[in-house]
Amino acid sequence: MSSVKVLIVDDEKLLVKSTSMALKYAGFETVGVLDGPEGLRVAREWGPEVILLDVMMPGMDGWSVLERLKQDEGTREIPVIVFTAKEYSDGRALARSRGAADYLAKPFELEELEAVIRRYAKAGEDEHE
Amino acid sequence: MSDMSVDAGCFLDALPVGILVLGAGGEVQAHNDLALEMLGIDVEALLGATASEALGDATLRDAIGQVLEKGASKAHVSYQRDGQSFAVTVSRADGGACGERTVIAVTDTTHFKQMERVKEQFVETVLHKLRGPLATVKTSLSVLDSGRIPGMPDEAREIVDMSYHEVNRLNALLNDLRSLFLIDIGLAGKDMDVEVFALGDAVSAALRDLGRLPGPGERAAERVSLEGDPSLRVRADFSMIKQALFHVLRNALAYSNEPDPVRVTVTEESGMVAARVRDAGEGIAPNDLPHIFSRFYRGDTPVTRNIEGNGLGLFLAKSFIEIMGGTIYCESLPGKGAVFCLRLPAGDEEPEAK
Repeated sequence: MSSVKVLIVDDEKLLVKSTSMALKYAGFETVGVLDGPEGLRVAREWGPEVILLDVMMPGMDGWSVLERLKQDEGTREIPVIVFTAKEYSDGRALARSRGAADYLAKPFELEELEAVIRRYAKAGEDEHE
Repeated sequence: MSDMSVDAGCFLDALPVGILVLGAGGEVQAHNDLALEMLGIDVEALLGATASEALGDATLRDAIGQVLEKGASKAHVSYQRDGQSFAVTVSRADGGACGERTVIAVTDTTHFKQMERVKEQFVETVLHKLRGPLATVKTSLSVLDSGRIPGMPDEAREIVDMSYHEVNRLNALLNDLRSLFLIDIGLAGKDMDVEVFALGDAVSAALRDLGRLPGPGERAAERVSLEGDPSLRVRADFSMIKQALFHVLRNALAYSNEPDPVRVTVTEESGMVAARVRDAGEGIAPNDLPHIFSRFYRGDTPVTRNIEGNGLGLFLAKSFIEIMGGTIYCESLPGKGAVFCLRLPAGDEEPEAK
């Protein structure tokens, strides 16, 4: 069974690095990028099963990246989990209304992150059968 | 006292404040050069004209009108011109020797406002910059704390565990300081996202957050019972209400003794939704009670001295709730525990189109 491929898009370098390491220890295969354009490129070429996307990046902000991911045929189906600065009562609905699959408020608990990745990676798998 | 209208000219020019003295009809009877400079008018403009006529700015005219025509005793406005800021006060003089006069006082607040902006930017930047590294440290420690890295000695695990908890505390403190800062500069509303949600959901989220910090909150979910109708909906910012409940619940858990429960009862009360948080602890002393919502206030009893915290919790809770248009108060008697009553606007009606 191959590892689930997770792409992390966040402008905070050390956060990307530590989250990647954390996820590797949890059995995922990860690639981390620091900006939107790079994220779009890697999403197309590497084909991750889940994308973690920070909405608060400078330059191309997360919501724009999300829009483009959903417009592009090659990346449209990949579930995206957005990182936000605060918690909402129904953040999932908010995230979904923008095209994401779910959201996590920063700073998140590692267990929550893993649980949410597994939830959507699995859903993606089922879709492809 | 001698006739002030003769003496006034002597000191008007010495004042660091711009002054215009108006008669009953709004005509300028006395002034100093500073006023002309600050308001950007020539002395010729004042001849035979009322102050309102001489001043082009609508805000200033309005303020003058409020005192001269509408009978207000004072009007304050801010006025900007050429990149400078001024605070203008129009006041009715008190009769007697001053007769029916109106005084306009202008103070230059440019430097003050610049310093305010610098301070705000500095604090906001510092707080923002602290968050990133803190989140990273938190994630890294949580990896180490997870036990997934094989071969870690027990002492190392213990140290990591302590560090992880400290980081969570630091994070909570940083959030509180940021909230305090935003409240102080009147911008707490800027991050607000108003939603309609069940108050019970905010209580559950607060309990989850409590469970993550060491101390009295760790077994929050077991000790807190949610009663009444938690599905009652409120209109508020979810994150703020969650934080307010977090602080009130943490207090209640800390001040009561295990395993006594803390009861949260949600009810509807005259168009608002109320949550009463009851604990059966030692209660709050009468001389502490009026101050518990003040910032940095910590009562000085053996119980309070043992509690970790910075005295900001209840102050922030009250601020958040009031920003939402709600109220909070506390009733307590020594030995009889305490009840915190929070009220928030109900969220059931459709918002009126405005």
